[in-house]
Amino acid sequence: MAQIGEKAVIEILRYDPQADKRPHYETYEVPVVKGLTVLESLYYILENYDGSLSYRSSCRAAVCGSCGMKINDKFALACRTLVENIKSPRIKIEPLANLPLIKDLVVDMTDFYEKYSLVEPFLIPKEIPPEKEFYQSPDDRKSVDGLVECIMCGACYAACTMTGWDKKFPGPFGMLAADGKLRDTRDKLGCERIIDISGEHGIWRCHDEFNCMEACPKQLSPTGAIHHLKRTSVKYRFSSPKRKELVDEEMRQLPEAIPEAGSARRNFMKTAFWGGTGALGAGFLLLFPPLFSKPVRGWETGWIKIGAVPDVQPSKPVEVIYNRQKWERGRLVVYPRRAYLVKNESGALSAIDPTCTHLGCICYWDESIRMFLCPCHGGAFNKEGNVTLGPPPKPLARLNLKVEGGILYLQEEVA
Amino acid sequence: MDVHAHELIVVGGGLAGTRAVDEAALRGVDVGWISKIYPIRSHSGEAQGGINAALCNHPEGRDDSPERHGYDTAKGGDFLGDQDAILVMTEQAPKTVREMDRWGVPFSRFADGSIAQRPFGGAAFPRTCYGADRTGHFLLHAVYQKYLTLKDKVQLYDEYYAVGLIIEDHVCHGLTAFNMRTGKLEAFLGHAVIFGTGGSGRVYGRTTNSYSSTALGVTMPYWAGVPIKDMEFVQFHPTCITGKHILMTEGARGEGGYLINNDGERFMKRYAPKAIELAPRDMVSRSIETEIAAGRGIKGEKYVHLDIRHLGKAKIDERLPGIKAICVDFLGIDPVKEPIPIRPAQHYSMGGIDCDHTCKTEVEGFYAAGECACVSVHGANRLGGNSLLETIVFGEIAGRNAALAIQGKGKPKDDRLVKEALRSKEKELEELYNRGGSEDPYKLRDEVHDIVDNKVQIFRNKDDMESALQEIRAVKRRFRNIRSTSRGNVFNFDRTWTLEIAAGIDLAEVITLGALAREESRGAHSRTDFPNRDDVNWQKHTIARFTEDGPELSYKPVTITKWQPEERKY
Repeated sequence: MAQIGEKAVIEILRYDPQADKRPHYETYEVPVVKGLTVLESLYYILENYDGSLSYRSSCRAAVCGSCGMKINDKFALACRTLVENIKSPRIKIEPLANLPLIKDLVVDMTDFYEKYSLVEPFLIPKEIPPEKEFYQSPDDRKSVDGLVECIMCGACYAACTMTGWDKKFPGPFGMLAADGKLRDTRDKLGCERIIDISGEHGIWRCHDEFNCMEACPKQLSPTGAIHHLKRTSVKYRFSSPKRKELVDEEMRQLPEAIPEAGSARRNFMKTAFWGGTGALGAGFLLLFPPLFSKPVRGWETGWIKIGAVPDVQPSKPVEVIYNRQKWERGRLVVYPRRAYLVKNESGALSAIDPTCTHLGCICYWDESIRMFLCPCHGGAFNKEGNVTLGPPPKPLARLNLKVEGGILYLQEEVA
Repeated sequence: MDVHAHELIVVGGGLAGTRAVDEAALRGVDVGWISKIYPIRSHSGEAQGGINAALCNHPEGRDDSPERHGYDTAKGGDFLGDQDAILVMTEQAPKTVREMDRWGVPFSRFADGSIAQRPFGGAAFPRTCYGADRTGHFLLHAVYQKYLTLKDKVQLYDEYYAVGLIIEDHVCHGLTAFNMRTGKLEAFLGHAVIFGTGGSGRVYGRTTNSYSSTALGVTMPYWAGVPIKDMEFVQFHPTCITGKHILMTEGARGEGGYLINNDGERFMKRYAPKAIELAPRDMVSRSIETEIAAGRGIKGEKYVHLDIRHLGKAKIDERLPGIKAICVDFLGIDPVKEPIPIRPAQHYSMGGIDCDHTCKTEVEGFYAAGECACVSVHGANRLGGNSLLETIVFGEIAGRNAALAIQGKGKPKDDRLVKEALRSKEKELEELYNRGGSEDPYKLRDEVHDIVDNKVQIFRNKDDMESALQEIRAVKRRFRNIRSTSRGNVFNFDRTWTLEIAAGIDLAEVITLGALAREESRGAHSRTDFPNRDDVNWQKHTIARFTEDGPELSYKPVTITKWQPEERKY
């Protein structure tokens, strides 16, 4: 550890594409004065020892995000790291990981900016009179705190193992930006924003290593943002974005949650439900007060009435939502479920259960590649439900189906 | 030969440049956008406190109006601002802020859901709209995000270093810039060029400005024959943390922070009985320096305290989280528990490229906006919260006017001009990189910093500035004998810094010469030997033109429309 008045030993990764075959390290000594930052040390080296040293910098106040680099194996901002606070006797400085090296500490950020652009981080405003601003309550404004302060320094991007592994994963900072706009009450798109980032290379790639949070010099939580996106995704995958209003309407008509869970249904859902049923990867559940005095256990079996038979073309499966009911501790629990109606070439109708046979996530129909895709591990199924890609061991299950008097009924094979 | 032809070329990735790009692209113009750093890295993002607009959202600001905002701006600028331009800006302000709201800026909110406003120095009403203390960051990201929606109209050349304008017969045809990744000089042709290159604070050593806020943005047009205006007016921000000179937002005082001297006294009561800490920046900076000179700095040292402890943790965390983080990171103190040691430091250049409220300059097809320009709305002293406003309002105006002027002209083409420009610039740069002398450019830069920090600072006088001018000219001569720069073409910052230092020395000369000539005290320019404002002889803009023998000064009248000069009392 370099004391004030002594010299700090700084080891820097050097690479000049015009002169070097491979990167190497060079060591410099910099006199330590009170408050000396790593960035100032780099300037000292540039100005006194070697003018060919390359690194990016601008604001020197931890706002512009230029000087993200690896300092003693941790990703940090050079301008915000004080030399006197570094415990080890030597300071090793290397460029950001997960981005191609150009020269010394300068990396190619093209992919990084491109991915930011892909999550569409801009506001798509709702209509308001042009002479007015949006009215947004302080609480609604607060909901984007911790999501809009990102300075895009790349520390989380470099620290994330999934970013290194999956070149199409937008990275923690991109997810943070997406969540910032998702939660912004001024935004028109709302949950539709999730569609593009919940696929195979999207939010489900994150496996909660928390590297991004550890690296973030602004103490933001991309992991938290990804969790929120995952929850929202699960919620709306269920009903598809187009049906959001309909589902909200249905929810309003349902009785309030059980009294002991508190009066606010939202809070209840946040805590009890998401914790408890995350593994199902499916939907929100609502608890009813007991309808019968006699407690019953297990699934409600039997035919579930869906409604008029929808118009299904052989080319495209049609999504239907139905309620599956189960008795739990004396209460009837409703699990909204999704099924797809498919018609084969000869005109026969069948119903597919989109629960992935790998680990139980709910698949969705992707019209662009005409397959059922699993958002979790890249499983894919064709229109008939047979596995075409990825880890699922067997085809998607089918539901029993019958049509009586123009009304469609479904029945699950309840275990 | 690398030539990039676009209808419009914009230089600068800060708020003014990006807003100009957005505006031109929205109007269907094909834009080539050059920035030496990636746009969101720009210094605009460091602005903390807010952006002024008479929205009348604050309960105490219901009687506010763009006209009152204009009057405050003119008075704050000690009546050197052009009043027609000031009104253009203040009348546009509410629309601009609401547009930024639509573009996604997460402004802080009042309980009724409207955009929150806080009091700022020199303003009669609380009219500074803010997003915590990260307003500049939020604005910069919002205009950048807008660009992402317009990408098909805009070609971004990031990490390209603009080095010279192509001007022939008073018409601007484009510029030359080198690609940092290859070191290769390339030409950019356009029917118009907009400069939004930001301030030149790094001429000074003690400055709040980023490493990228250097003199070249102003000096490049100056060298090419475009006049620059009012460069002697340099704002010193009163509250910058000692040692690092990082800004503590004026919002800290707007939210109720005190300035305290060694006697524990709120000394601003003596200098500005009514406004106290919220007097304009020039007055507060002078007062702090006067206290320090009188030995009332904390423990006799050269700093005083900014005390926000009485605001309480909750308010500091909500409204001033950024400055709290800076104090913790860079000083190791928690402003909730301890006062912040501060001293004034260079913060803003009121002067810049001479243009009017249409952003047009003397050279046809060359526009300027933002801190690199001098419209002049800030006059002799800028009010806090007006700089973010200026960048966006005039960025938009520059983008609009340039787009209208070049409509339907198609892509430019001129082989002869390109060849000439590339050849002469290449020769010039080769010469600069290979002087093979003995002088160290960084040492020369430090010498210039010392000179202007000590002799062309808050209080100025004839003797100091005469010797400063001699010393700067001596450095300029020695600069001809600098050592050769490092080899290598890829991200060679030794070369860019050498260029910046050359520009800095020339700009320091212009600042000093202008300040020496102006024998009065006005706004941020205060002469101990001429302590009063002299409206009869000096209510005029200083114009500097480049000649081989140094800057040539002339003067230009100030536009007065509504408000006659009066004494500034706060």
